[in-house]
Amino acid sequence: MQLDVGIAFFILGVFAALVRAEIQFPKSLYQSLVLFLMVAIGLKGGVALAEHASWELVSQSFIVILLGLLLPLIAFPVLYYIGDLKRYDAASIAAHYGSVSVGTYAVAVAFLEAQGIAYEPYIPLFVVLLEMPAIVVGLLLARQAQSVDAGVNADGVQVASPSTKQLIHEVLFNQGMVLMVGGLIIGYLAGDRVDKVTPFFFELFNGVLALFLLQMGMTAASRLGDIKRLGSFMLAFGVAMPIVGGLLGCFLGLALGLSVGGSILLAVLGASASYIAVPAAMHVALPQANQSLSISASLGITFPFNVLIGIPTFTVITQWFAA
Amino acid sequence: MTSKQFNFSLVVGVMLTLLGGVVASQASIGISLMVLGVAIAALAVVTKLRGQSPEPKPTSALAPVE
Repeated sequence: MQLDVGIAFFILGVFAALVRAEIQFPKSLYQSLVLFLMVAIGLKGGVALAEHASWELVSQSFIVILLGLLLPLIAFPVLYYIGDLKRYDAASIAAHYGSVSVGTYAVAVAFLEAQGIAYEPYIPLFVVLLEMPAIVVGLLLARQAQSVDAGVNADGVQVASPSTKQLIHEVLFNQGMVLMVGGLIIGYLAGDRVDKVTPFFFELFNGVLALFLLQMGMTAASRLGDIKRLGSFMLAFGVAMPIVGGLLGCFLGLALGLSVGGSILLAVLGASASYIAVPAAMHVALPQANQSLSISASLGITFPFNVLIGIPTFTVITQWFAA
Repeated sequence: MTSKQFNFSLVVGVMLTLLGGVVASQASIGISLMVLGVAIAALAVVTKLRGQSPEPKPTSALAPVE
């Protein structure tokens, strides 16, 4: 049995945090790793887009955006009506689960390449497309939430409502959108000239991903206390939502005529929950919401679930349905 | 824990266990899903039972004097 290198580094990070090993990632290094992964994924997608651009891709993209709109609409009623969460907390968490995790996507790509499973190289386009719709739905839910219970945050402190300009800026120009869309456009327009940066962005990708996962393992382990505090409902939600989103992504990928690898990646995108772009957007859009609740669920429950169990499970299920 | 939350957790636990059972015929990862499903269902039951057990409430006579 061979252990995936990325998963091994993630487990090492969990172990290091549990035994309280003195490993300290400078915050700026972690941010650099995230920036690297976003640019690299965008560039790869742009290069592929230049080679595979077609009208079929436009229709696929439109349907993928619908998936991004649907996921938070599934999550919100579960959190609000069953979980009895406050409306703005439910809206914020729903937006996190409707959007995507670039880190989870990177792990899935490394997993498929290690398994020798081919996939459409333009899938990074879908990563970018899935970033935004959930934030928009989250903001619409947020608008309703603000009209119901405006002005007070989780600590009972009065907060100012964000302006529409601020919200639009956060949705369109957050770190993930700018770097990934920018990478896509550069990769698309540069053509063969991308070769100049290939050694840095493409060949170092798995090494950077390993360091990123080491840090994520430590972060996830540090959130174990939060999981205990969140209780069994949030644990169940944090596992159930990626299964639902993953199955939707898997079926959608196969229905769109994607390859098995492409359908697995769409399943992983449906299953993943954002912990970088959406928290920043929700911080502006919904200052009343308890941000630690959504981050703990997406980072402490869903990210480890997807990395350790979700990705291999979606691989088996997709291969099963495709056969 | 409300009954809605309990039922949801229990259903998710059972569904994960069943999904794990199906996946286990294809790959060993199914066992992990089954274990996780059982753990979620068990945690929901334990939380529910703990919530129902009567706990001694502090009275004014037992409250610490400031």
